[in-house]
Amino acid sequence: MRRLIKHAVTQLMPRTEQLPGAADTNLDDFIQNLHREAPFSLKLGLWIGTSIYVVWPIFTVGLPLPSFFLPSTLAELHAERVTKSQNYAARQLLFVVKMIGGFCWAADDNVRQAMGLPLLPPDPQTFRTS
Amino acid sequence: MTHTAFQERGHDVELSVDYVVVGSGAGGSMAAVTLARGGAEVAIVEAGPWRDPEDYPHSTYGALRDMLDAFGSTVTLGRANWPIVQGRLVGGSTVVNSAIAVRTPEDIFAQWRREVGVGGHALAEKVWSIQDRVEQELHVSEVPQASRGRSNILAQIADKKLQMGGHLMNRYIDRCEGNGTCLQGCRANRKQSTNINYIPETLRRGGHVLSCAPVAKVILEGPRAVGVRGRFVHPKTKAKGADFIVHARKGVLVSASVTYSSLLLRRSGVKNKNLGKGFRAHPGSGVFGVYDENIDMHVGATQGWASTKFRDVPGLKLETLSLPMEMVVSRFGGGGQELMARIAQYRHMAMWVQATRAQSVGSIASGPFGMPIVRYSLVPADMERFVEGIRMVSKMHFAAGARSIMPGIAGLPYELRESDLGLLDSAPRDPRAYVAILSHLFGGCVMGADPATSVCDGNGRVHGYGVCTWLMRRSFPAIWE
Repeated sequence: MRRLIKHAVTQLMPRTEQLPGAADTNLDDFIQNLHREAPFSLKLGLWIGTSIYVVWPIFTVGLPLPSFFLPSTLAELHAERVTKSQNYAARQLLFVVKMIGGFCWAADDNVRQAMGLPLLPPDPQTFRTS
Repeated sequence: MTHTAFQERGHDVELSVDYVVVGSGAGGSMAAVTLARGGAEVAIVEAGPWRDPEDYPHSTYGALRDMLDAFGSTVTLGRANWPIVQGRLVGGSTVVNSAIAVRTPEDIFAQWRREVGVGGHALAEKVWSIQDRVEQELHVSEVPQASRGRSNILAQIADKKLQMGGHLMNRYIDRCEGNGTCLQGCRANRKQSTNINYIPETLRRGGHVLSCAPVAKVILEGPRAVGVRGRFVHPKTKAKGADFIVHARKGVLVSASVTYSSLLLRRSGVKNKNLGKGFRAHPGSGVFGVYDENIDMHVGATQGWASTKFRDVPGLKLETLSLPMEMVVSRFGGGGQELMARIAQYRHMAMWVQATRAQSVGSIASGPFGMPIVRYSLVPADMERFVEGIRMVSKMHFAAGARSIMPGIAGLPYELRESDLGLLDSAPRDPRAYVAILSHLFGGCVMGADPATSVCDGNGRVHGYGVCTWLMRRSFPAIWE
């Protein structure tokens, strides 16, 4: 499932002339941390959203293929259309996939540099113990 | 005075105090410090950890993980699934909100008197005198010039042109630096969240704080609340730790958020059919304005301008709201190159929002693992207000010079020019077409004179029990912020 999540996020947030894509960020580590830290409900939403992304090309580009077999032009069209689905549940679950991808992508140093935004230091993850 | 954080199994904690306060947000911490100032020995019991400003995360993902209940993933069940966001750490949501301080308007007290038999002018006077003191203690002041940021300044320009009756917000921030991180906790230590003032003061006055300590039950002896019990949970690993029990010689005050207070009381054996009823909120939705100039909404006060001119008719609050780029990505429509092109404009965008003074009423029930299930749907009249609010902030953007707007409504073109504004008149009235969030939550333990229709009386005491829901909002039938 983690590879599928990476695939979906990477296609939804591809590299452009101006900006690095999700594939250029530390997405593997991010997804691994998320699976360790997030509550089940969020992970479930992410898994279902990713599954929808993978099987939905039949509805977006009319091809009964999983999204990872799509040629690049159709993959781009699929990424654009799938997030605008008329199906509310599908749209919401893909929102979760984009949200998780966005957290990773927009916190990445290269992305922030390209956007001219201040870099984010690592989270301390500390709290008072006494 | 003690602070007890997570304890491993085998290191059970037991203590006796005069009063136990469950929850450390705006309501709980205020109750605790007031009791402590009166000489009582108080224990604050908080489900989340105690994080000081240097512990606050830098990333938005970190803020969700470290500061919000269930990663902020709780959503309403109803026609649309809109998120409900609440803090889960010492200081509660005061750490992660925009620090806006608003006085309860007089007509609200009159409305309470009329509808539920509590309130009226006498209560208003009492509340306002307390608010006077609180505002002074928390350095409530207008957003200073230097930290307004371009988004708030543009909103002021639009306000002037369209006569929106707006104002700069009053916030509990002492000399705001305008670093735009209110929602992740103010690492500059300027926001006066209760974890840096009232809770340390309670400790100094001989009180106790148990953090990482979700309360499982209020202990009842007959109708009297005599303590609380639960088990520590590690904030990182979620591992269960030692048991804790805190005995209350005089009383227990529950201020465990709108969604959890009613669940806790029900779990504890309080019999009242109104528990969980009367849930209300102000659903809000934002519109991005795209400008030629750099707006840089990550700089300046997160929320600095608001208008309450339309509070009664049609029933709206309009305000600015800056979001970090990490949060904005999912809010943008589309995917692939189209999404990336929208994101690339982030620094040219300002986000202004409408919050609807909704009349819709929902309910809170217990779900799997004790998580709250909130059922809530907007009635048609509220959807009309909601759409009108989107129209109003859209017009404001164009008045401020935006070249386009992104209202983010499914079924409409994603980006609209000024000439397209008419399309908003036919915007769908289906809440599922909108990306929204529920803010300003109320209810669950509704206050009222009649035990048949309410949970607690005018003093916050649960009808028939000696347990007090000391509340900012969870008992109030409706309020306007």
